[in-house]
Amino acid sequence: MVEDIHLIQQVLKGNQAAFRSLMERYQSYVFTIAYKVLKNRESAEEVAQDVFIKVYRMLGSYQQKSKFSTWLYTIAYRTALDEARKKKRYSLSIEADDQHLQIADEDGKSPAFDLQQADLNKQLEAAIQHLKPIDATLITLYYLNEKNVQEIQVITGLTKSNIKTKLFRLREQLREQLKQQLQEEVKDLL
Amino acid sequence: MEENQDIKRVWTQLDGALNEKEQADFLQKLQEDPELSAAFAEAQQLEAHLKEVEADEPSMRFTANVLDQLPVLYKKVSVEPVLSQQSLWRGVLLLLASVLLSFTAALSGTGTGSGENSFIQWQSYLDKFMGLPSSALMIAALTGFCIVSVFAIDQVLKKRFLSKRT
Repeated sequence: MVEDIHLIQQVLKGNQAAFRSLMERYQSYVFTIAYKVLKNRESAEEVAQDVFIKVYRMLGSYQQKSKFSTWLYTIAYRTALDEARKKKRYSLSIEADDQHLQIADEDGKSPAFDLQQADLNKQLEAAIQHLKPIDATLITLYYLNEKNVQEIQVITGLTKSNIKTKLFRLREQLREQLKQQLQEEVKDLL
Repeated sequence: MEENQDIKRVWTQLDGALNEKEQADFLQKLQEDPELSAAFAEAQQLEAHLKEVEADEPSMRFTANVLDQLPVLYKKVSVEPVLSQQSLWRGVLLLLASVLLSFTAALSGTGTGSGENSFIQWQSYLDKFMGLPSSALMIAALTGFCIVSVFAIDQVLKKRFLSKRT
Protein backbone atom coordinates (compact mmCIF):
# COMPACT_ATOMS: atom_id res chain seq x y z
CA MET A 1 0.00 0.00 0.00
CA VAL A 2 1.29 3.45 -0.93
CA GLU A 3 2.10 5.52 2.16
CA ASP A 4 0.02 8.57 2.98
CA ILE A 5 2.95 10.93 2.74
CA HIS A 6 3.78 9.79 -0.78
CA LEU A 7 0.17 10.41 -1.83
CA ILE A 8 0.25 13.85 -0.18
CA GLN A 9 3.38 14.78 -2.14
CA GLN A 10 1.67 13.68 -5.31
CA VAL A 11 -1.39 15.79 -4.51
CA LEU A 12 0.82 18.82 -3.91
CA LYS A 13 2.30 18.29 -7.36
CA GLY A 14 -1.18 18.52 -8.83
CA ASN A 15 -2.08 14.84 -9.02
CA GLN A 16 -5.82 14.65 -8.28
CA ALA A 17 -5.84 10.87 -8.63
CA ALA A 18 -3.62 10.71 -5.53
CA PHE A 19 -6.19 12.75 -3.62
CA ARG A 20 -8.88 10.33 -4.73
CA SER A 21 -6.79 7.49 -3.26
CA LEU A 22 -6.43 9.36 0.03
CA MET A 23 -10.16 9.97 0.11
CA GLU A 24 -11.03 6.38 -0.63
CA ARG A 25 -8.73 5.31 2.19
CA TYR A 26 -10.28 7.56 4.83
CA GLN A 27 -13.75 8.63 3.72
CA SER A 28 -15.69 6.04 5.71
CA TYR A 29 -13.79 6.91 8.91
CA VAL A 30 -14.29 10.64 8.40
CA PHE A 31 -17.96 10.06 7.64
CA THR A 32 -18.32 7.87 10.75
CA ILE A 33 -16.84 10.56 12.99
CA ALA A 34 -19.17 13.18 11.51
CA TYR A 35 -22.13 10.81 11.85
CA LYS A 36 -21.31 10.06 15.49
CA VAL A 37 -21.27 13.77 16.26
CA LEU A 38 -24.23 14.89 14.15
CA LYS A 39 -26.48 11.80 14.35
CA ASN A 40 -27.82 12.54 10.89
CA ARG A 41 -26.60 10.97 7.66
CA GLU A 42 -27.23 13.94 5.33
CA SER A 43 -25.52 16.42 7.61
CA ALA A 44 -22.66 13.99 8.23
CA GLU A 45 -22.17 13.55 4.49
CA GLU A 46 -22.09 17.30 3.90
CA VAL A 47 -19.62 17.78 6.71
CA ALA A 48 -17.42 14.91 5.49
CA GLN A 49 -17.35 16.52 2.03
CA ASP A 50 -16.41 19.87 3.55
CA VAL A 51 -13.67 18.16 5.52
CA PHE A 52 -12.03 16.75 2.38
CA ILE A 53 -12.26 20.08 0.57
CA LYS A 54 -10.69 21.78 3.59
CA VAL A 55 -7.98 19.13 3.69
CA TYR A 56 -7.28 19.64 -0.01
CA ARG A 57 -6.87 23.38 0.52
CA MET A 58 -4.78 22.97 3.67
CA LEU A 59 -2.64 20.05 2.59
CA GLY A 60 0.35 22.32 2.03
CA SER A 61 0.27 23.28 5.72
CA TYR A 62 0.34 19.67 7.00
CA GLN A 63 3.69 19.47 8.80
CA GLN A 64 3.83 15.77 9.68
CA LYS A 65 3.93 16.51 13.43
CA SER A 66 1.31 13.80 13.82
CA LYS A 67 0.05 10.99 11.59
CA PHE A 68 -1.95 12.18 8.61
CA SER A 69 -4.99 10.28 9.92
CA THR A 70 -4.77 12.09 13.29
CA TRP A 71 -4.58 15.46 11.50
CA LEU A 72 -7.50 14.48 9.27
CA TYR A 73 -9.70 13.23 12.13
CA THR A 74 -8.97 16.41 14.10
CA ILE A 75 -10.32 18.47 11.22
CA ALA A 76 -13.27 16.09 10.86
CA TYR A 77 -14.17 16.14 14.55
CA ARG A 78 -13.91 19.93 14.87
CA THR A 79 -15.81 20.61 11.65
CA ALA A 80 -18.58 18.27 12.77
CA LEU A 81 -18.67 19.89 16.20
CA ASP A 82 -18.93 23.37 14.64
CA GLU A 83 -21.78 22.13 12.45
CA ALA A 84 -23.55 20.60 15.46
CA ARG A 85 -23.30 23.91 17.28
CA LYS A 86 -24.73 25.74 14.29
CA LYS A 87 -27.68 23.43 13.87
CA LYS A 88 -30.54 24.43 16.08
CA ARG A 89 -32.26 21.09 15.84
CA TYR A 90 -29.96 19.72 18.48
CA SER A 91 -30.39 20.87 22.01
CA LEU A 92 -26.87 21.54 22.96
CA SER A 93 -25.72 22.16 26.44
CA ILE A 94 -22.17 22.43 27.55
CA GLU A 95 -21.62 20.33 30.61
CA ALA A 96 -19.66 22.09 33.28
CA ASP A 97 -17.44 19.15 34.12
CA ASP A 98 -16.22 17.89 30.77
CA GLN A 99 -17.54 20.33 28.21
CA HIS A 100 -19.14 17.78 25.96
CA LEU A 101 -22.35 17.99 24.03
CA GLN A 102 -25.62 16.61 25.34
CA ILE A 103 -27.88 15.49 22.55
CA ALA A 104 -31.64 15.22 22.81
CA ASP A 105 -33.18 11.99 21.60
CA GLU A 106 -34.92 12.75 18.33
CA ASP A 107 -37.91 10.44 18.60
CA GLY A 108 -38.58 10.99 22.27
CA LYS A 109 -37.37 7.56 23.38
CA SER A 110 -35.23 7.34 26.46
CA PRO A 111 -31.52 7.38 25.70
CA ALA A 112 -31.45 3.75 26.77
CA PHE A 113 -30.64 1.70 23.77
CA ASP A 114 -33.12 -0.07 21.60
CA LEU A 115 -31.62 -3.50 21.85
CA GLN A 116 -34.27 -5.64 20.24
CA GLN A 117 -34.24 -8.09 17.38
CA ALA A 118 -30.83 -7.38 15.97
CA ASP A 119 -27.52 -9.09 16.26
CA LEU A 120 -25.08 -8.00 18.88
CA ASN A 121 -22.88 -5.95 16.59
CA LYS A 122 -25.86 -4.07 15.23
CA GLN A 123 -27.10 -3.53 18.75
CA LEU A 124 -23.73 -2.20 19.76
CA GLU A 125 -23.65 0.13 16.75
CA ALA A 126 -27.07 1.41 17.76
CA ALA A 127 -25.93 1.78 21.33
CA ILE A 128 -22.88 3.78 20.26
CA GLN A 129 -25.01 5.90 17.95
CA HIS A 130 -27.21 6.82 20.91
CA LEU A 131 -24.30 7.99 23.02
CA LYS A 132 -23.50 11.66 23.40
CA PRO A 133 -21.46 12.93 20.41
CA ILE A 134 -18.19 13.13 22.29
CA ASP A 135 -18.69 9.70 23.85
CA ALA A 136 -19.60 8.09 20.54
CA THR A 137 -16.56 9.73 18.96
CA LEU A 138 -14.26 8.48 21.71
CA ILE A 139 -15.39 4.88 21.30
CA THR A 140 -15.16 5.20 17.51
CA LEU A 141 -11.67 6.65 17.59
CA TYR A 142 -10.44 4.08 20.10
CA TYR A 143 -11.83 0.95 18.47
CA LEU A 144 -12.68 1.71 14.86
CA ASN A 145 -9.88 4.12 14.07
CA GLU A 146 -7.49 2.37 16.48
CA LYS A 147 -6.24 5.62 17.93
CA ASN A 148 -4.41 5.63 21.25
CA VAL A 149 -5.18 8.01 24.14
CA GLN A 150 -2.49 10.47 23.09
CA GLU A 151 -3.84 10.73 19.54
CA ILE A 152 -7.41 11.07 20.83
CA GLN A 153 -6.15 13.92 22.99
CA VAL A 154 -4.87 15.71 19.87
CA ILE A 155 -8.12 15.12 18.01
CA THR A 156 -10.62 16.05 20.70
CA GLY A 157 -8.65 18.46 22.86
CA LEU A 158 -9.62 16.52 26.01
CA THR A 159 -7.05 15.70 28.66
CA LYS A 160 -5.57 12.21 28.87
CA SER A 161 -7.11 11.51 32.27
CA ASN A 162 -10.49 12.72 31.04
CA ILE A 163 -10.28 10.41 28.03
CA LYS A 164 -9.31 7.42 30.20
CA THR A 165 -12.13 8.11 32.66
CA LYS A 166 -14.66 8.50 29.89
CA LEU A 167 -13.51 5.34 28.12
CA PHE A 168 -13.81 3.38 31.35
CA ARG A 169 -17.27 4.77 32.11
CA LEU A 170 -18.51 4.21 28.56
CA ARG A 171 -17.28 0.67 28.34
CA GLU A 172 -18.84 -0.14 31.70
CA GLN A 173 -22.10 1.38 30.50
CA LEU A 174 -21.97 -0.77 27.37
CA ARG A 175 -21.01 -3.85 29.38
CA GLU A 176 -24.03 -3.36 31.60
CA GLN A 177 -26.23 -3.06 28.52
CA LEU A 178 -24.72 -6.19 27.07
CA LYS A 179 -25.23 -8.05 30.35
CA GLN A 180 -28.88 -7.04 30.54
CA GLN A 181 -29.43 -8.04 26.96
CA LEU A 182 -27.90 -11.45 27.48
CA GLN A 183 -30.01 -11.98 30.60
CA GLU A 184 -33.16 -11.09 28.64
CA GLU A 185 -32.21 -13.51 25.88
CA VAL A 186 -31.68 -16.31 28.42
CA LYS A 187 -35.08 -15.51 29.97
CA ASP A 188 -36.72 -15.69 26.52
CA LEU A 189 -35.13 -19.05 25.86
CA LEU A 190 -36.45 -20.44 29.17
CA MET B 1 -14.63 0.89 46.14
CA GLU B 2 -12.64 -2.32 45.93
CA GLU B 3 -15.07 -3.64 43.31
CA ASN B 4 -14.70 -0.48 41.23
CA GLN B 5 -10.93 -0.84 41.33
CA ASP B 6 -11.23 -4.44 40.20
CA ILE B 7 -13.43 -3.44 37.28
CA LYS B 8 -10.93 -0.75 36.34
CA ARG B 9 -8.24 -3.41 36.36
CA VAL B 10 -10.37 -5.52 34.01
CA TRP B 11 -10.23 -2.80 31.37
CA THR B 12 -6.62 -1.95 32.05
CA GLN B 13 -5.76 -5.62 31.54
CA LEU B 14 -7.69 -5.66 28.25
CA ASP B 15 -5.87 -2.49 27.16
CA GLY B 16 -2.60 -4.28 27.92
CA ALA B 17 -1.58 -1.57 30.38
CA LEU B 18 -1.02 -3.64 33.56
CA ASN B 19 2.59 -4.20 34.56
CA GLU B 20 3.90 -7.68 35.29
CA LYS B 21 3.17 -7.65 39.03
CA GLU B 22 -0.26 -6.07 38.62
CA GLN B 23 -1.06 -8.64 35.97
CA ALA B 24 -0.05 -11.54 38.22
CA ASP B 25 -2.17 -10.15 41.07
CA PHE B 26 -5.10 -9.63 38.74
CA LEU B 27 -4.96 -13.17 37.33
CA GLN B 28 -4.75 -14.56 40.85
CA LYS B 29 -7.83 -12.58 41.88
CA LEU B 30 -9.62 -13.65 38.73
CA GLN B 31 -9.32 -17.27 39.82
CA GLU B 32 -10.55 -16.56 43.32
CA ASP B 33 -13.44 -14.20 42.54
CA PRO B 34 -16.20 -15.65 40.30
CA GLU B 35 -17.95 -12.25 39.98
CA LEU B 36 -14.78 -10.63 38.73
CA SER B 37 -14.25 -13.56 36.42
CA ALA B 38 -17.75 -13.10 34.98
CA ALA B 39 -17.19 -9.37 34.57
CA PHE B 40 -13.90 -10.08 32.78
CA ALA B 41 -15.60 -12.53 30.40
CA GLU B 42 -18.30 -9.93 29.62
CA ALA B 43 -15.69 -7.25 29.08
CA GLN B 44 -13.74 -9.54 26.76
CA GLN B 45 -16.90 -10.25 24.81
CA LEU B 46 -17.73 -6.56 24.55
CA GLU B 47 -14.17 -5.73 23.52
CA ALA B 48 -14.33 -8.32 20.72
CA HIS B 49 -17.63 -6.92 19.47
CA LEU B 50 -16.41 -3.32 19.65
CA LYS B 51 -13.46 -4.24 17.48
CA GLU B 52 -15.83 -5.73 14.93
CA VAL B 53 -18.07 -2.69 14.64
CA GLU B 54 -17.75 -1.39 11.09
CA ALA B 55 -17.40 2.15 9.82
CA ASP B 56 -20.47 3.87 8.40
CA GLU B 57 -20.32 4.32 4.65
CA PRO B 58 -21.17 7.58 2.90
CA SER B 59 -23.24 7.57 -0.30
CA MET B 60 -21.90 6.17 -3.58
CA ARG B 61 -21.59 9.69 -5.02
CA PHE B 62 -19.44 10.90 -2.14
CA THR B 63 -16.04 10.76 -3.85
CA ALA B 64 -17.35 12.22 -7.10
CA ASN B 65 -19.12 15.04 -5.23
CA VAL B 66 -15.91 16.06 -3.50
CA LEU B 67 -13.76 15.79 -6.62
CA ASP B 68 -16.26 17.96 -8.53
CA GLN B 69 -15.90 20.68 -5.94
CA LEU B 70 -12.13 20.66 -5.65
CA PRO B 71 -10.53 23.98 -6.42
CA VAL B 72 -7.77 23.86 -8.97
CA LEU B 73 -5.19 25.02 -6.45
CA TYR B 74 -2.71 22.39 -7.34
CA LYS B 75 -3.37 22.26 -11.05
CA LYS B 76 -0.12 21.69 -12.86
CA VAL B 77 1.20 24.94 -14.37
CA SER B 78 3.95 25.54 -16.86
CA VAL B 79 7.30 26.30 -15.29
CA GLU B 80 9.13 26.81 -18.57
CA PRO B 81 11.28 29.98 -18.56
CA VAL B 82 9.96 32.94 -20.55
CA LEU B 83 13.20 33.07 -22.52
CA SER B 84 14.54 29.72 -23.57
CA GLN B 85 18.28 29.13 -23.58
CA GLN B 86 18.23 28.85 -27.36
CA SER B 87 16.44 32.15 -27.98
CA LEU B 88 18.76 33.84 -25.48
CA TRP B 89 21.85 32.76 -27.42
CA ARG B 90 20.19 33.83 -30.66
CA GLY B 91 19.62 37.26 -29.14
CA VAL B 92 23.23 37.55 -28.02
CA LEU B 93 24.51 36.52 -31.46
CA LEU B 94 22.16 38.98 -33.11
CA LEU B 95 23.42 41.75 -30.85
CA LEU B 96 27.05 40.93 -31.58
CA ALA B 97 26.33 40.79 -35.30
CA SER B 98 24.63 44.20 -35.14
CA VAL B 99 27.57 45.76 -33.28
CA LEU B 100 30.01 44.20 -35.73
CA LEU B 101 28.05 45.40 -38.73
CA SER B 102 27.69 48.92 -37.40
CA PHE B 103 31.39 48.97 -36.56
CA THR B 104 32.30 47.84 -40.10
CA ALA B 105 29.89 50.36 -41.57
CA ALA B 106 31.36 53.12 -39.46
CA LEU B 107 34.88 52.23 -40.55
CA SER B 108 34.07 51.92 -44.24
CA GLY B 109 32.28 55.27 -44.00
CA THR B 110 35.57 57.02 -43.22
CA GLY B 111 36.97 56.01 -46.63
CA THR B 112 40.54 55.28 -45.42
CA GLY B 113 40.49 51.55 -44.69
CA SER B 114 44.31 51.07 -44.31
CA GLY B 115 46.05 49.76 -41.17
CA GLU B 116 48.41 52.74 -40.73
CA ASN B 117 45.60 55.09 -40.01
CA SER B 118 44.03 52.84 -37.36
CA PHE B 119 44.08 55.57 -34.72
CA ILE B 120 42.21 57.92 -37.01
CA GLN B 121 39.75 55.14 -37.80
CA TRP B 122 39.05 54.56 -34.11
CA GLN B 123 38.76 58.26 -33.56
CA SER B 124 36.38 58.50 -36.46
CA TYR B 125 34.28 55.66 -35.09
CA LEU B 126 34.14 57.20 -31.63
CA ASP B 127 33.23 60.56 -33.12
CA LYS B 128 30.37 58.99 -35.02
CA PHE B 129 29.25 57.13 -31.88
CA MET B 130 29.41 60.24 -29.74
CA GLY B 131 27.57 62.10 -32.42
CA LEU B 132 24.47 59.92 -31.95
CA PRO B 133 21.57 61.71 -30.26
CA SER B 134 21.47 61.07 -26.50
CA SER B 135 17.87 59.80 -26.70
CA ALA B 136 18.97 56.96 -29.00
CA LEU B 137 21.68 55.96 -26.53
CA MET B 138 19.19 56.09 -23.68
CA ILE B 139 16.73 53.84 -25.55
CA ALA B 140 19.48 51.36 -26.34
CA ALA B 141 20.60 51.29 -22.67
CA LEU B 142 17.04 50.86 -21.41
CA THR B 143 16.33 48.06 -23.86
CA GLY B 144 19.47 46.25 -22.75
CA PHE B 145 18.57 46.73 -19.09
CA CYS B 146 15.04 45.41 -19.64
CA ILE B 147 16.26 42.28 -21.40
CA VAL B 148 18.70 41.51 -18.60
CA SER B 149 16.01 42.20 -15.93
CA VAL B 150 13.41 39.96 -17.57
CA PHE B 151 15.92 37.17 -17.77
CA ALA B 152 16.97 37.60 -14.11
CA ILE B 153 13.38 37.81 -12.79
CA ASP B 154 12.41 34.77 -14.82
CA GLN B 155 15.25 32.76 -13.31
CA VAL B 156 14.50 33.89 -9.72
CA LEU B 157 10.75 33.21 -9.97
CA LYS B 158 11.31 29.84 -11.52
CA LYS B 159 13.69 28.83 -8.74
CA ARG B 160 11.35 30.08 -5.99
CA PHE B 161 8.21 28.53 -7.49
CA LEU B 162 9.83 25.15 -7.97
CA SER B 163 11.27 25.09 -4.44
CA LYS B 164 7.79 25.81 -2.95
CA ARG B 165 6.15 23.03 -4.89
CA THR B 166 8.61 20.33 -3.85
